[in-house]
Amino acid sequence: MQGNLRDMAVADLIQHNCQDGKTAQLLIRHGERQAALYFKDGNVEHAVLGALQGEEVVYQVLGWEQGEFSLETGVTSPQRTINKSWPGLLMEGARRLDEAKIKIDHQELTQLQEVNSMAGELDNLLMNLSKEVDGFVAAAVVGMDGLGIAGYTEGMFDLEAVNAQMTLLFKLVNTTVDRLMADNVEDFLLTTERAYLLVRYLSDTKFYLGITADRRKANLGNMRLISRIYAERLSKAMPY
Amino acid sequence: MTKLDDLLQEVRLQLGSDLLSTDVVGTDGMSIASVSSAPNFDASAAAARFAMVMKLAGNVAGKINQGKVDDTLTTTGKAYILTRFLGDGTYYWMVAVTKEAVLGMVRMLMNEYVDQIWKAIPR
Repeated sequence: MQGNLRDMAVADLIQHNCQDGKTAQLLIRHGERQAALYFKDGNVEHAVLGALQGEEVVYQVLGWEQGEFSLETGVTSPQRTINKSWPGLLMEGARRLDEAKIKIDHQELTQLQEVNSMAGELDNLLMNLSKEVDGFVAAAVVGMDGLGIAGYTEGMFDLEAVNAQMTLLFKLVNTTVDRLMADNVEDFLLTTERAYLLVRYLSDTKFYLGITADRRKANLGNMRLISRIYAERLSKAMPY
Repeated sequence: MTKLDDLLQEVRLQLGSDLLSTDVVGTDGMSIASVSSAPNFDASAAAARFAMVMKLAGNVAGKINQGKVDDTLTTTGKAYILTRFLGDGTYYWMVAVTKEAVLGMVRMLMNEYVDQIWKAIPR
């Protein structure tokens, strides 16, 4: 008998073989790994997976949801390593799987909390930055894909469009400077009729800090200095 | 020597050894006047490549409603590269200086010469 674990779970295979009182060898393949379970007189008598033997093998294979199996009846076990009854094995296996799931859920929750906390910290830093730049309009931490991961604006400002457009320009500046072999770009300033738009790499150059300020009110030297200071602070707050 | 060349030479004298190169460039990327002090800095390549940057900068500024572009400043590990549109925007002026240059001074100098350079472009 052969089949796929999508059609019949390991727990069902154990239950059927034990209830039928079969003497058999069940081979289960999961990727590169293969386990062998031996049944005799309505119990699991032995299990082996690589160097591992006994109950622990059963608990591991109960967690396999993908793979193939083949059952050969009449094959006897080379030894006895399991004394627990089959219902006991399945109950302990289920308990361990639940425990592992809770652990994974907890890890995911912790990761989510860390991401939220990081995003909050970046937003706070950008808010603090806004108080130190004269004529502040907006600031953002942006990935080189043009998407902002944190931002702070004062008044109506299309931060999403600015992030996308400035990334496009910053990429061209980088390519240009690369070709000129003038070393790496540290920052780039665009002066328009209305605004200073400054972008500066964070320590991971997949991200940059972008600041926009009202040209009539801003002080360019101050803006560059603050961008240097906050690029460092933001770099430290990033989860690299 | 044309008036434009004279003006760029004046700029070179004012910036001294900090100057890498200065060019007046059409938006087609062709330099019409150039003074270079650094043999390792490929001024004509820089002129052509920054023409693309200036063109895109103009488009970007329009799309984000920030008015016309006046200038750009690129800071690299070795140099400051300043570009500034002249007159009606059909030409731009590029000044590349070493990191030892006083940036504020370079910007002031560009403010001082920008109109003269625009007027000196042969028509």
